[in-house]
Amino acid sequence: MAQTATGQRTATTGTQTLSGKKFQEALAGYTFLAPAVIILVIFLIIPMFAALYFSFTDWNGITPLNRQDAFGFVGLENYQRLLLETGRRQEVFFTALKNTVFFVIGVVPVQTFLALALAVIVNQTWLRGKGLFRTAFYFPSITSSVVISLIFMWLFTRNGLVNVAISAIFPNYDPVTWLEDPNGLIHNFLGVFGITGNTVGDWAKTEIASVSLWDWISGPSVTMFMIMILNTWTTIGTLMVIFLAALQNIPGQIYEAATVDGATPWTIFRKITVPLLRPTTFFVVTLGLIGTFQVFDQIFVISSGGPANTTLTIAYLVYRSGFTDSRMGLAAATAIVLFVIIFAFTLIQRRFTGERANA
Amino acid sequence: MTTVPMTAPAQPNAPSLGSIVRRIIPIFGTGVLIFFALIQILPFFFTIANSFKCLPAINASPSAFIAVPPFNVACVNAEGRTLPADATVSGATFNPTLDGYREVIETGSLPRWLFNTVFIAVTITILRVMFDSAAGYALARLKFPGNRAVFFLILGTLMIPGIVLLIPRFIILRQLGMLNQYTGVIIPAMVDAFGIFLMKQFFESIPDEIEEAAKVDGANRFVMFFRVVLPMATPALTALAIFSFQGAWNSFLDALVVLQGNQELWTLPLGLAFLRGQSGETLRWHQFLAGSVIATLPIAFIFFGFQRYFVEGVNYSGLAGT
Amino acid sequence: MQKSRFFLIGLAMLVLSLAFTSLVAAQDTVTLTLAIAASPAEADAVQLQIDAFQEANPGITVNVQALPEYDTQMQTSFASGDYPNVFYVGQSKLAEYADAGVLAPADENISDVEGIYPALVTTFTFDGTLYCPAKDFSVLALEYNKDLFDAAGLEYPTADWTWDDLSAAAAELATDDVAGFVINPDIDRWFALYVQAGGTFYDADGNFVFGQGDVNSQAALDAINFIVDLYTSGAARSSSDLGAGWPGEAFGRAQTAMTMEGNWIIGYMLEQFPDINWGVTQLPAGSAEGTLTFTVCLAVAADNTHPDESWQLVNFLTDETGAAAVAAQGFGPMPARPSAGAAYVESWAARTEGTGVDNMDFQAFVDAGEVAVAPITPPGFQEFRDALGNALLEAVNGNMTAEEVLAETIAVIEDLS
Repeated sequence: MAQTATGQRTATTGTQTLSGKKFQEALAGYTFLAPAVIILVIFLIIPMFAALYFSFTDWNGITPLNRQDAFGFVGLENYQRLLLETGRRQEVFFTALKNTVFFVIGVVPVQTFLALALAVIVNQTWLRGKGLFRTAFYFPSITSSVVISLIFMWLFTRNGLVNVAISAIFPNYDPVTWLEDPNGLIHNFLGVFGITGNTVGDWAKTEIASVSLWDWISGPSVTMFMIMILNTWTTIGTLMVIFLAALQNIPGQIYEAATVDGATPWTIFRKITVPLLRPTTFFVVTLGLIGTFQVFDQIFVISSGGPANTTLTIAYLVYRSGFTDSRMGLAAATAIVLFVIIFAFTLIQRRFTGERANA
Repeated sequence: MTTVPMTAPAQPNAPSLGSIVRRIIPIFGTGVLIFFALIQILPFFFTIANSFKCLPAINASPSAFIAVPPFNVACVNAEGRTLPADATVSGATFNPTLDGYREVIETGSLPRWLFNTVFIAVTITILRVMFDSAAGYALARLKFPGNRAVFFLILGTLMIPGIVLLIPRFIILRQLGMLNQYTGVIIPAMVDAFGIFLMKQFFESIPDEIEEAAKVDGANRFVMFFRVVLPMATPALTALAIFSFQGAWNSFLDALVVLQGNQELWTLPLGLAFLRGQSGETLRWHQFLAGSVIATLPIAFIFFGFQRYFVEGVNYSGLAGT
Repeated sequence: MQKSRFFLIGLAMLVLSLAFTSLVAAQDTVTLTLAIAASPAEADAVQLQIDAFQEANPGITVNVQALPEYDTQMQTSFASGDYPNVFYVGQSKLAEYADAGVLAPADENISDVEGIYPALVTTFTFDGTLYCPAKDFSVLALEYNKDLFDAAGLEYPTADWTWDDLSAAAAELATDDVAGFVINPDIDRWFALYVQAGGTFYDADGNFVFGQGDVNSQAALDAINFIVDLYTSGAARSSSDLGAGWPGEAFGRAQTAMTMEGNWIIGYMLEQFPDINWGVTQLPAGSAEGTLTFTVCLAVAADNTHPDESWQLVNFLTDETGAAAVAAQGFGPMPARPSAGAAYVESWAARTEGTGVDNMDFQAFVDAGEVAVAPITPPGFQEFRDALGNALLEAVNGNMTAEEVLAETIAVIEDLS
């Protein structure tokens, strides 16, 4: 404050401006985030902690919670029975895990690739009727999964349209009951070479986590495969829209410049489009992982986990334990385990795709 | 300029492989697209076709898709007996009827459900576009303590199966007095982690230079967001709007649990579930298909209208040397 | 700016939505909530009864909640402690709900308990306490296609048939395209065979004794072998094998001469397959007569501010007059009181007139109520049901013997107990 050298005063002013700016930035950040965080905390985070809490109890999910003796504490027992103790619970959980993993591996790469391909093609300048094509591709995504699952069921019954169509093309076709076939695809494939559950030898009967080795390599069942197709079919449209939005962000001049330089469409795609879309691809794959690990709606409508537990996914197991089997504590534990699995996968995926790219 | 006599031979230059490929790609590509588009649409086409059939006809010949006169058949004859399948279907043709639509409108309260669904979906969409983009921007651009933690927290909410949250959320809504009301459906959904994630990814892909330029001009964060960044985000916002609308339109279990006490507030998915009846009862396909068509077509039109906003290429021409 | 206007609109709609809340008028009357598992026909029928109730009881108003996903929604209500006064309880849920303490014991509150089918009273008794009166029920019976029987020159099935009669007729009627008998290896049908072989589910003390002990284990083996033999001889096929969604559909398409389904098939056949000439009779007997029932009761909440009025409502809907109303509804479930059985049969007369179906046949469904057993398993036994279902499927496909099926199921029971 004294009449000191100009430098000193500037320094004082400088510090004030700096912390003022940081404060303003933080204020803006918190203001922008506040509504989102408040809503998410109240309606998602708190229920998640409630689920965590229930996972340490034996609550049946029915007894009103405002009663004194609604449930008892059992510590880690639910987790133990799920993961460690040999028995039916473990068998059912790991069967569900197996089914879910096959589902994830089968669906995520395919849906990502197809969505990207469709988005790129639909974005081409030479294409007429872009709007129509986009709407057509997006169509399956817009219907509620309940409705579309029922329609799907209707199409794939033994006398349904799909079998009728195939019979029209291949007259000797013996109709497959698409939605009630519990045979695993890998098992079917091995069966072509004469390798079946009976011929494979006793080593395959050893059990890891209560599931025999032979069962571990069963692959998705035919019914599960149909649900995978249904899921892919309905999500391609959504993911295509995301890729489209990202593609809009790439200035047309870049493509023009590249074409002028003599690049072929394929080179443009590989060297320009794909790298520029990396953050979006990461986003789509993350979404895909999160979504496929939690696949539930179609199972709920179409198969209820059958036939023979081959379409039982972890998310459906959570529902079944909590609402059909009145073991809400166990259901909560199953949900927490799934959460941990998805979280781990997402972290691994982030590590793989590296840092976020700026355009 | 001097005209050089054409000494080239009379035949035209042989077309190069490149130019052949370049000409085939559009045709081949369009063909592939049409094929995929058909795969996507065919089930709906048959759904729409069958929604105009009598119930026995749907069971007997789901593949008949050509409507022939007489139109507007009455599926139940004068004595109250249902017409058997072959009275209305023959090979690939069928006589259409409006019975499914009529019944679905009379049995349930379809107009009411439609209104509720539109109201809820529009409200949620508007709110989500605002709050998700704000939150996404904050996470993408603003540096403040806890930035990464908040992002992981938000991302984490996507990773738990919603089923297990049903009961705790129901109890919270009950405590807040929001059961059996529009607010019970709208408020928990007015922000969603997926939308925030989407907008964050998008904002991160915008070059820093744009905002640096605005900052030099003296803009603070709020101005920068509303006046500079948001207008550029039209494609992402359009995507967000489409997803939000569709998600809200089709939301089932959450709305189911919240609105169970008041049928007047039901949305279309709830209404359709009601028409479907309990599991084990036989589904009345003609009603259900008609209801599905009514529940689906509005979104198709909305999407078709909105996707025009996917304008090609954002113009960065304001930046020199980019 | 366009965006801020956007924002204002959003806020305005939020405010509007708050204003849209329905106002509950304060009344001097008692208001009860009744939750029902909803489908349009049921909702209409119940509403008629409710209107009559409200007329007869001006001081009571009833809000009917139709729940499309009944079990899930009721469970969330229970957990919160705030649940309807009166609600449906399906037979498979009774033990769970009673155990969780959300049901009020009936004590003396049910009017005329003796007039209800005894099997239905037992179904809704848990741990020695009766909780609620059945409001309606369905049973399995034997449906047969008259034309197919005529073409083969066989006598129609009667209520005196035994298992041997059934397999003989089915074997004769089976062709390449048509099955003699459609029965899926589904526990909710196979249990009927178990009962007909003399098996029981619970002993006098309420212990779950399926397949345990000499009588029950033999009954289980007999029942498994019976269905496996039907399949291996080619007399029986599954509905999916015939390309149908369920046995009723196969029956409607004349792809099978006989099937074992419940009274819900009446409306289905009349509406969707009106040209089939079919009849009904009671299921054949093994070493005993028996069939399965699927029933629902009307229970009163344990945490209840108006218990007396709740019981009034329950009794209105389920006593003799209530049962008569159910009989006259004409869309499927039968009244829970034998006294209303004749009215039920009569209610179909108008719709069956002029068709190849005789509504007097439906008396078979009514009579079956006397020998029906509810196939309920203890709470938390879903895995038992799954294991048994899977094992039956394996047995029918020739991959497991009856002894293996039984051993596996007993192992699961022990694991769960």
